[in-house]
Amino acid sequence: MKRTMIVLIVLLAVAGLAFAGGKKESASKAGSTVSHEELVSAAKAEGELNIYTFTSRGSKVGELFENKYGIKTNVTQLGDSAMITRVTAEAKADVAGADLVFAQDSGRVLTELFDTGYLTEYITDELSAVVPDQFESPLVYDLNIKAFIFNSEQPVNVTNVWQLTEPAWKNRIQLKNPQSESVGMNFFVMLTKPEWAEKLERAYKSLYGRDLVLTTPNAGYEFIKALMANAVLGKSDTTICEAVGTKGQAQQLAGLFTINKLRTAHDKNLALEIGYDMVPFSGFMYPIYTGITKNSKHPNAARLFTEFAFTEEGWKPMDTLGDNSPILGSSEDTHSLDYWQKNLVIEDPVWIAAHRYEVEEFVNALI
Amino acid sequence: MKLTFKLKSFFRKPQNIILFVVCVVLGYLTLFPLYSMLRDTLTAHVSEARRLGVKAGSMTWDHWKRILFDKNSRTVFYRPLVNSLVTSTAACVISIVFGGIFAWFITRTDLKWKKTLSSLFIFPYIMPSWTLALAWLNLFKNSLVGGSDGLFTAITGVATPNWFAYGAFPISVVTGLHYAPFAYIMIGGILRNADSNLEEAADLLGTTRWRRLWKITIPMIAPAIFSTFLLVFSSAMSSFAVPSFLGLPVRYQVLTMQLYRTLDGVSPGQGYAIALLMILISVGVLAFNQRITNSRRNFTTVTGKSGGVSLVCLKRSRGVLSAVFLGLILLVSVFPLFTFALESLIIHPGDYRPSNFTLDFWISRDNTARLTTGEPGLLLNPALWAALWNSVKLSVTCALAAGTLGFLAGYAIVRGRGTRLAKAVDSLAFFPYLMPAMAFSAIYLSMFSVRHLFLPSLYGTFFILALIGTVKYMPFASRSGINSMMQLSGQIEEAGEIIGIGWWRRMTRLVVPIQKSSFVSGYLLPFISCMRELSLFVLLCTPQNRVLTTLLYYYNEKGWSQYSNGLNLLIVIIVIVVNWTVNKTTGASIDKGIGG
Amino acid sequence: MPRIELRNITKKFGNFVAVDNLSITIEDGDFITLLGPSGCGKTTTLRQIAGLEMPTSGEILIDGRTVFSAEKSIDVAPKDRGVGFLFQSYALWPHMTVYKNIAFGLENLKWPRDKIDARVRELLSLLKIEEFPDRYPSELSGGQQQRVAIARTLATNPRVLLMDEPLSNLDAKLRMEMRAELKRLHHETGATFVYVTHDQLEAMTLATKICLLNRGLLQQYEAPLSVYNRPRNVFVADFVGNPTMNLVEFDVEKTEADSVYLSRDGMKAVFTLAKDSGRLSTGDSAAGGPGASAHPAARQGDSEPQGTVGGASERGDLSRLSGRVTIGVRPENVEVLGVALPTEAEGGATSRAGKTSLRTRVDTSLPSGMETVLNLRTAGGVMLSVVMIGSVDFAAEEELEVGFKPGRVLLFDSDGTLAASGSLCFE
Repeated sequence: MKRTMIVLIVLLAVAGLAFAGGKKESASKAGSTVSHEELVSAAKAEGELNIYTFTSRGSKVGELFENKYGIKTNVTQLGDSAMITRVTAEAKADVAGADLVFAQDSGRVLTELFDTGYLTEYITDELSAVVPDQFESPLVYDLNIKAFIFNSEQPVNVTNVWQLTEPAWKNRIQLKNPQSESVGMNFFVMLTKPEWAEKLERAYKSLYGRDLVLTTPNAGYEFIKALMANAVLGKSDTTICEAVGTKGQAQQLAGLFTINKLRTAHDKNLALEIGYDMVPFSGFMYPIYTGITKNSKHPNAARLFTEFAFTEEGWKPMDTLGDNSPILGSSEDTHSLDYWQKNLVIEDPVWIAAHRYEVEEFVNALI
Repeated sequence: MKLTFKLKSFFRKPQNIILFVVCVVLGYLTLFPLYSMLRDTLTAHVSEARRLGVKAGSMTWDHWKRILFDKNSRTVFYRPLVNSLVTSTAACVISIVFGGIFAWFITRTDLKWKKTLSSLFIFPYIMPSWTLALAWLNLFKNSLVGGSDGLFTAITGVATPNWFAYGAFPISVVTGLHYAPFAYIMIGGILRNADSNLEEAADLLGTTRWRRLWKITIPMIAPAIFSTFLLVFSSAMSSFAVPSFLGLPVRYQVLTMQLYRTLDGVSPGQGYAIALLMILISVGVLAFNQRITNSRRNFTTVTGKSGGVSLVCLKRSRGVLSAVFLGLILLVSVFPLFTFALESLIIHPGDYRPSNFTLDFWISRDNTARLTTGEPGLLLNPALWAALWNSVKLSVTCALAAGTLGFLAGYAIVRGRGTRLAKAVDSLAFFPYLMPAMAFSAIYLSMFSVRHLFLPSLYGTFFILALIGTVKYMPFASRSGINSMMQLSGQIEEAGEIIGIGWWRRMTRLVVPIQKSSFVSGYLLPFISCMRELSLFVLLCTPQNRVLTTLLYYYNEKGWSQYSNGLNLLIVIIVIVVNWTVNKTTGASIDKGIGG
Repeated sequence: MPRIELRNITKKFGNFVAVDNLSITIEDGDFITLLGPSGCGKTTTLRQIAGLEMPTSGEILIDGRTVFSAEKSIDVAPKDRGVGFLFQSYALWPHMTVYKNIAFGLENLKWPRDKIDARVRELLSLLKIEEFPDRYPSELSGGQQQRVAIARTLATNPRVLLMDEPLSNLDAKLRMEMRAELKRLHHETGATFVYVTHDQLEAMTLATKICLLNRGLLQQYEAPLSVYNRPRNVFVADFVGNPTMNLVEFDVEKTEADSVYLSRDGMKAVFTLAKDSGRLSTGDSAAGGPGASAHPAARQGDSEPQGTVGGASERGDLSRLSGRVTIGVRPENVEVLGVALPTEAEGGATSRAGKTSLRTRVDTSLPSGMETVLNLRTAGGVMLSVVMIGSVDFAAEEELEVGFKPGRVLLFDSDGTLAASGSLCFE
């Protein structure tokens, strides 16, 4: 009887061993000179592929890939931090996990995943030929755009970002809480980079005709402080989009959110308009990096998928407003990737990795 | 006496074997994580190494310094701490007052519809905690957050002030309402058992009503009040969803929001430091609670069989009061469900014209027109069915494991009462309750994502979810086990022991059948809690093993309000149906689990 | 047949000593009561015999077999000790019928069905509960529940029956009935009964021997009437008997070989050792204690009623007494000699040392029909209770002349130990 009882209690612990057992295989390094056919057959031999990605649309790409090559593809969507934590844990433990990763939050992905060797980019000569140099290392798969978007029932009169910091805009500009979204925080970090701080300083002068009086280290910080003072923080881009775009509101609202939301604006009966050509920027753009994991058990399938993801066929499910392939751009957008590159703040992973913490502390104090 | 003989006699008693095993297992699963947390607060994380100018993994005091002694400590820790204490305390007061008054009316007066009212009153606890917060926003939001107005403003035309719509006030109210069933169950339990003669005796002595309340009734239910305070306070302090929904628009920060930010960001060490301080506060409340209830033990013993409670006749106010209670409870328990149903059917939020209604979010195969991803309607959504199956599997597993372990622990604690080991297990089994769920899961994530002692990496497995759920809900099950064993005289079992009935048969043929309903109650509460748990699983779930609540969270993050409202409704309905079915078939109920 | 021996049993709960070095032998077929106030260790002792509680040290033997020995590392499980246990709360299994309650233990022993059925029927009729086999415990009265509990305990035919205050939850009338029932069962089963109670009347009426405990220490272990008549110490004297024994403290003034001169508050008295006629009914000369078990034949002993007791003094020598001593006299040994006459201020009969009577005033008079209990007050303010057979009523403040039956007065030394029996006169 006592034995039965002990068995009962210890059952849990024992079951643990049964549940989680991992094969031990060493992953081969990415980047080789095999032919496409050889790669396909090697990938098919592996038979399976596990992908961690930032978007739910990733599973559609996975389906296309699976249908085309007959390789079972499991696509897992993860949040920024969870992604980094998991990939790190799996690589350290060398267990079967993700083979291929599509991740945002450039600063951390660069320093915590690429610099540590947990992720390695896979770039073929063909890809290298078409991908712009600045998006090659780490390899950028997608560029997402968040811009200042206004309720269009009233004319959009804002041409300079500093206007949003004026008293008239108090509680009328909505931001997603930067504490809960790394790319939002990264945007702020970028503003403190001398390059952008100077642009902001000039924009201030051109708007008001006088020099900005600094109470903080630079104009970037000054702008963050002023913008946060006016902002209402929201939980998600969708709710912000709806809050801003709902018709019949007394005051014109604006929000900083993904321009992708404009696709459904009509169906949702929302009045929205992007603040194009604002000085010095209309919003920000952040890269999604891709790499093959150190502990990959299906490296060839991962390589094949990477190649597939950059084809027109593979990009199709991703090709919507706000998602730009570094090669193909976005077919739904009336503006080109070139235009956006000139009008948006783009993440610089090295600057972000070095300065994220201090800016985050600064922003925290404002919330 | 020889040591071997001592050990042999010690382990001859089944309760000692259980105590020993539970002590070791729980020690490993609760104290070790605690130690890991402490260690992490003193270790530089990869993402901080460069900033701190040290190697990742080396020792640092930076986290504690930043939390406690930095110029930013005010924003990162002290202000959120004050806010947490304020809202948690206010939530306690609200739940105790609301639940207590309701309990008094149910047990001591001739209020109408008692059965219906008391079953409905439990609803808010069954629902995920943030559902009431969503309902609050649906009702009271104002132009600050933009978009359409809340229902209240839409109907009355009166704009709600910010303090009413967001921040400390609604956080306290919503949390208080969510936990009011605790107060009702615990205070009601005492009132039901306590002799109303005590109060009537005071009446005969000519005591005034208020004096009677203060001098007789309140002291009588004081232990229940303190227990409720402890339970609600630590739960309220570790709740994340409610303050993040209601606090964000006015930037009202509580500790859990800082906890989430740091754990999910670049300095988990600071997060664990905050978590440890939160645990410390909870332990403080627990110690205070134990001191008070110990010195007041005499009061608890007035229970026992009462010679029939005579009900206060409400006379003419009976109808009015019954209606008021019904109205209030419908508002808190049923109205949110109604708004969920409604919101899941409308295309454009805030527009309630018939043309704006659709069933697409429930039964359409492809909603491409409305959502970029073309997410299929809820009922045709494979993600939902997978999550539902996973939720049920997980909840049943946790309920079985926690319920069984908890019952055994409760059994052993009561049988071994007075021994140091029993006391240790008692505290250990309650300890997970005091751990903020988010920090608990974060540390499990970091502990078990790599090989740990004899356990392989558990990351992303179903097992780790089951493990953490089991440990986290042990307190409910062990409490319920202790309660039910306290009611069962030890002699019942000894009567079997003396005539040679073995332990296993004593348990299966005597103890469990006799205490069937409270035994099953020990499973019910972990099941329900698990079904509606978010914070604990949100970090550990992968889309392959997503559960209903993490799916809901995902929909919420995406801002797909129709889906999140619909799914919310589904979760609540599933839990209510299970609760009702179990209650009808076995007589088990949440009250018995909590210890009314 | 079972004979139970406890050797130097000590049980500690933390620092609290529940049972202190207890050694007793319970003879086969005895009906022993463990008697004492609550918390005296009697239930603990019983549970230790059953094996439900483990002694801290000592040995327990049942039927010559060591069932527990701390020194020899033996601890036999309760089920293997061949004992039955009757619980205070009956501990009936509420989810089983009466039949099932009784049969469950037998089923566990894998008895064949027909044998079980026969045994259950036998017990049902033995306990006179034939009509209720299919009822659940909650559908029975307290007395019936008690009978079921006894039947269940007897089912497996234990040769030792341990009972923990089994009648304390019954009302007075049922209790009387069940006492008789237990005596009958003791007779019919021939088993050894060990019975825990705090009710001295129950102990007196049921037991062949009483084991009186206080604070874990054995006080006296003797036949009921010996305990009653020759309480070994003040505690026993006070605990046994209702109304309780009159105990009055005196200071020793002077001692002689066969008498002690006592005084208190202006009251002077002389205690004289019983010489010849002071037979103290049944009881043995040894006053029990740890050594009591060494006299297995004591039960039958109708030994010499000596004046001095134990090691207090040599026969006829009271000279070692000093300090504060206690005089004890049972209420029925106080005789009302008559209504005092005002002129007879100095009392009536006198003995060698002085008067044998004392003048008192009636405080209360409680006639109950069969007997009358009087509470009297002496001139010195000492309260005396008196039991008179028959209903006699006295008015309050009435003056009465009382005397103590010669030879029936007990003298306890300054430690509270019984030193002698004899007579008391007043000066």
